[in-house]
Amino acid sequence: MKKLFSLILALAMVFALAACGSDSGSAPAAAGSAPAASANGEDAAPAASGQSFNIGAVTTGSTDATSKPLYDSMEQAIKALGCNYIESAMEEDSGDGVLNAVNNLLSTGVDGLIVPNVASMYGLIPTIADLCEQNKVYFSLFWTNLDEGTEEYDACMNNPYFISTTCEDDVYSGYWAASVVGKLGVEKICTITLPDGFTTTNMRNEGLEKACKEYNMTVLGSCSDVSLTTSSAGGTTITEDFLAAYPDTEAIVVLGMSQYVLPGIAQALEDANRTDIQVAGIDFNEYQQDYMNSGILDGIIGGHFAGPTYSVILMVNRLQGNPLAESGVILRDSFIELGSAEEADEYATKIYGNCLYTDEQLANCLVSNNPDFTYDDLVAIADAYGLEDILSRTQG
Amino acid sequence: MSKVILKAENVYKSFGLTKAVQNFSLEIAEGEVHGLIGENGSGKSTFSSMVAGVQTMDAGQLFIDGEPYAPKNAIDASERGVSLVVQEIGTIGTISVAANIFINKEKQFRKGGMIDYKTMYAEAKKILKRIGGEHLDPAAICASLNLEDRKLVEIAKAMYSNPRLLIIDETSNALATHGREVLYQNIRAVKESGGSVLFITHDMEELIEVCDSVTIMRDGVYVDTLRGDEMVAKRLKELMVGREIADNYYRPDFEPKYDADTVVFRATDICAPNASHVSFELHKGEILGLGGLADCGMHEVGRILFGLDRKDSGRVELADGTEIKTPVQAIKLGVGYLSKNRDTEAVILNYSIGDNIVMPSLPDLRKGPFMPKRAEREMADDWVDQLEIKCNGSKQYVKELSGGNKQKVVLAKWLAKDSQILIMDCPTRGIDIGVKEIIYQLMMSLKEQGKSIIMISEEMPELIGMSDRILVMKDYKINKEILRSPEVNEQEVVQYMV
Amino acid sequence: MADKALNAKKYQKSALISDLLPLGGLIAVVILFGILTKGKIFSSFSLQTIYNQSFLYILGGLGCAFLFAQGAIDLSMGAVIALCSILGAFAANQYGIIACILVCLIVGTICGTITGFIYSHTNIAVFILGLSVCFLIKGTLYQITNGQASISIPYADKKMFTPIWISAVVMVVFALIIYYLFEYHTMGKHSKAIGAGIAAAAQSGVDVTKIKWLGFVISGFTCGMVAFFTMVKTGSGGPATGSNFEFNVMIAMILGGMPSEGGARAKIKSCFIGAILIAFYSNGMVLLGADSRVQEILKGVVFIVVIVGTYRMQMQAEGKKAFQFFGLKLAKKNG
Repeated sequence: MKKLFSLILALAMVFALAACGSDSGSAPAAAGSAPAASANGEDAAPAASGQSFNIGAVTTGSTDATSKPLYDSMEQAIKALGCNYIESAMEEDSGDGVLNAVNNLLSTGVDGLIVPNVASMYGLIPTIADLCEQNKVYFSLFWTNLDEGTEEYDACMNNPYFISTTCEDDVYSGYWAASVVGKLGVEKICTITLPDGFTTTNMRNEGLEKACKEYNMTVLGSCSDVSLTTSSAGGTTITEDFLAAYPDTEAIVVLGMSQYVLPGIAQALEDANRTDIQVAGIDFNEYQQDYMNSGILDGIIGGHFAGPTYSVILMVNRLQGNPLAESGVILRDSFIELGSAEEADEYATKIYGNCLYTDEQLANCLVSNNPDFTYDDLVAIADAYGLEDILSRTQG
Repeated sequence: MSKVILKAENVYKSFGLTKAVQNFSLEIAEGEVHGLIGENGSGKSTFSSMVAGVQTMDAGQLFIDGEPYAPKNAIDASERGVSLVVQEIGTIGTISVAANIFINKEKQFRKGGMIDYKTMYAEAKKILKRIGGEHLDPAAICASLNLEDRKLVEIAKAMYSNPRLLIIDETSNALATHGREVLYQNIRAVKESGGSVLFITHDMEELIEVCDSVTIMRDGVYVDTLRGDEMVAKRLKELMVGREIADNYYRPDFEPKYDADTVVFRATDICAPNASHVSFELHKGEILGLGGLADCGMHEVGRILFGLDRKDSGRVELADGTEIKTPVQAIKLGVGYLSKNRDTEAVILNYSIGDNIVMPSLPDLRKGPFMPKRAEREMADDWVDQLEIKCNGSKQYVKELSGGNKQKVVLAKWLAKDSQILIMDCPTRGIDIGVKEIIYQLMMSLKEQGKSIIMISEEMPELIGMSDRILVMKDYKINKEILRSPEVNEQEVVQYMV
Repeated sequence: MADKALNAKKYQKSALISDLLPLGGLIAVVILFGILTKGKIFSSFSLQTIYNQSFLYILGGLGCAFLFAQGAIDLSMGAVIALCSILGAFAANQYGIIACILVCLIVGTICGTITGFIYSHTNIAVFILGLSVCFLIKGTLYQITNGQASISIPYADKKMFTPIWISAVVMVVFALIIYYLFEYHTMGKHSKAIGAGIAAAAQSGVDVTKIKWLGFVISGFTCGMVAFFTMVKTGSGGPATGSNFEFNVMIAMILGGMPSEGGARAKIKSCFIGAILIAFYSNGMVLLGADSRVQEILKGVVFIVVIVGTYRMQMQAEGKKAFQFFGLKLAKKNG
């Protein structure tokens, strides 16, 4: 019977191959060297006059409102620059999951690698840096703050294969989210934060404090329990606990991972008849348009992160032999702020699901196409990023 | 010529390399009670399980009332009018009496998607009355009944469908007098209704009394069929074994013979849920019989002696005062135990013969930190040869052996360990004459070597035939001590049991 | 007499064949993927990845071998690994890497001892016990880390232990010890006896309490080892470390030929075969570009096929039909 097992295994293989044949762009034709021209819509993009490369991305495996736009933009950028996009999802949200995904990509034979920061990843960064150096693969990080003097910082900066890391100004995001409710005259708030000990968390808390001082707010209670902050049900539990412990709270500020907890919070507030409580959040959620329109949500800041796109630009330039910078860079990319229902509608209808930069605009960032393009130009593009910027550029 | 109900033609069945049934043919006519007899391993149970639909045939044909019959399972069999009553437990303990009787026939009680229990219980009461079990409550959970009552439930289930062919596979072992009466009653009922009965038993007297004819099997093949007056115990025994058997295979002597001055083992004032102030001493070279009715507590005492069950108070010790509290201790001190539940406790079925035999002796075979595999194999092969265990080498799994050979493996275990004291619980239960004889001979030779045996048995002839002393238990107490003598007979012993 | 010897040989031969089937399966998979990936699966990087992935499960399998032979399973492994990794990470940051190793091993062994004590002295089903311990530990993990999702260990220290030869030596030494205990010591034989028939084993001189307890102690110790090496790999310890470890080990063992009820057919080599097979399979699929979701589905399908296939094989060998009538006990089939 175990012979049958081997036979079935072989058949299963055939199915798998057939299945991935139709997967758009997520599989290399034959592992490794010669890049195959990807099937979809390449003709419109100006052909890269440099070589074509394989760029791999470690994905979170989810397609929620925070992850999907990011990876779609990355994929579009990679293709617009004439390269192949390969992705590998992490099986679980842990160091091991990321490492396996990285290994998978390295096995497949990529020239460049883009990896996100997941909660447990800081210890992993030096390992990834080493792996990439060993395999002579360029790498970039995103959602990752690198602080001078830390091991991660040294591991990256001293590594010749490190291209960039992009991160958002999290002091700003914390400040912005808290200000949304501050501007409404709220004085007592509860917060939901990312796990303790991370740079991102500390920075957002810094922003929170700034806003509290400015708008005279006090934080009554706070929750950072990862087992609760990563699910909608958890959001419900947290909210119910807040309402029970601090019935005089006037607002809930979610300083991260609204993609998970927001529906739970909304549900809990409705059930408890406390829709008077204001809510602001960081990280986009599928239902934000509805919540903004119904008044439950007063403001949300998040991405459609363009950071990875910038890293792609840096990476392809480097691969083509035209590095924009001499060593690894830390680049700021910006959030999109939605402070009103109208803005939420505009985002939902015009930007979500569309590209952030047109193919032409992207191709223009390649030195091989545009010899005048410099690193400062890229920084300027990043600085200009915002709701109006996107609308004006892509809607004409 | 009366109509033939069951016809079997050239039936074959093998389990791996073991040929259980070979080219076997049989005919049972209407109204006939046909016995099937043979040693363990003769193939009779295999054959009957094939007729009952529980096993498939490898080759051959079966016919019921002239029509081809090839049951895929017991449900098929039941639909053709073939019912089976088995030796071990054939009812499901966790459900009620009525549920067991009507298993697979619940549809008739379905009213609007639910089962109408009232009607079901009423029907159950009817059939129970018919078969002689009116004292049973249809709603009682089977696990709460004793073995005999559970067997009655099984009989009710078998009789409910008015079977054409009732197969009784060694059931009478589990029944006492009343139960057996009920069984014979129902056999008569089937006979009178025009059906027939296939009756398998070890009890020679019962067979001769109940059956109209009997077929003998040996080593999977057909030997002979005796009818009416031809059925004589001596002849049957010879045909079964293939050689002449002495009438009495117990001890040849009639005097107690043991070293009364040397005590080797002592139980003092044992008190437990099933034991009340049990005390006795075991002497060197003695066979001490322990007997009584099934529930008298003797089996539980055996377990307590070996340290398997907890006692409330009392002491079990060797003569020098070393106390025995756990099986591991007991074995180390030279005590061995042969459980009456052979398959589940005395031997590991899914384990090789060799591994079973060497297990208690492992610490002794050790050389430094290693347990040399060769020593194990040699010990195993040695004992397989000495006890003439019929098998395909010592690596074969015990579950493929016949009952008698399994018991040989159990004995080999303790012989290999050279245990000085053996506690045997029902040592020859379910074992045919040939192997029984061998076991009794073995017991005698152990006795002569100076080893001591406590024999717990429900078989009166065995107790009387083999023991130097018999301790009769009743209601958890030792009621009477009987010394071996030629005058001891069954009636005398029984009066102390009831 | 000669016939009996011949039968014995025939019997042993058929037993040998069914014994070698898992190994055959492994060879088939290796060859299959070697061909399909045009040899890329044998590249040094690919083989390294396969080694790294299977290494942890081989260790885990070796540690669980006794429990598996007994027909038991340690469902708390994942939680214990996480606990060891967290406490070990604390130790690494405060007192250095040697302290980290010691803490991992000691914490793991303590957990195994406690769980083993409860298991061997009560009638609790091993599944329920394992799950309960798992929940208990997991519930406290975030308290211990103060909400942090991971704790990094100093990079330089952990880099010391990354070279392959270190993990290889550990694995070989551990495998030899476990092999010795399994084949040449009562620990292994008694474990198999318990798996094959616990009542009879108890009556044949097996100290069931001790063997059950030791099984868990060894398993706990192994969790400590796995925790340490996982931290070496990923650079940090946390509540998510080692999640689902026990299930992956179980699947690897069963694919490697370990019977789920334990008993006589339990073998040490199952630990190796299964883990390597799965690693080869996973990496092969990646090299061929299969979507990770498809991979998961196929893994499940293959696993079910193997289990059903093995079950049917067993039933055929016993001459029984695969599905009995309401579990009625039969009259002895060989009488």
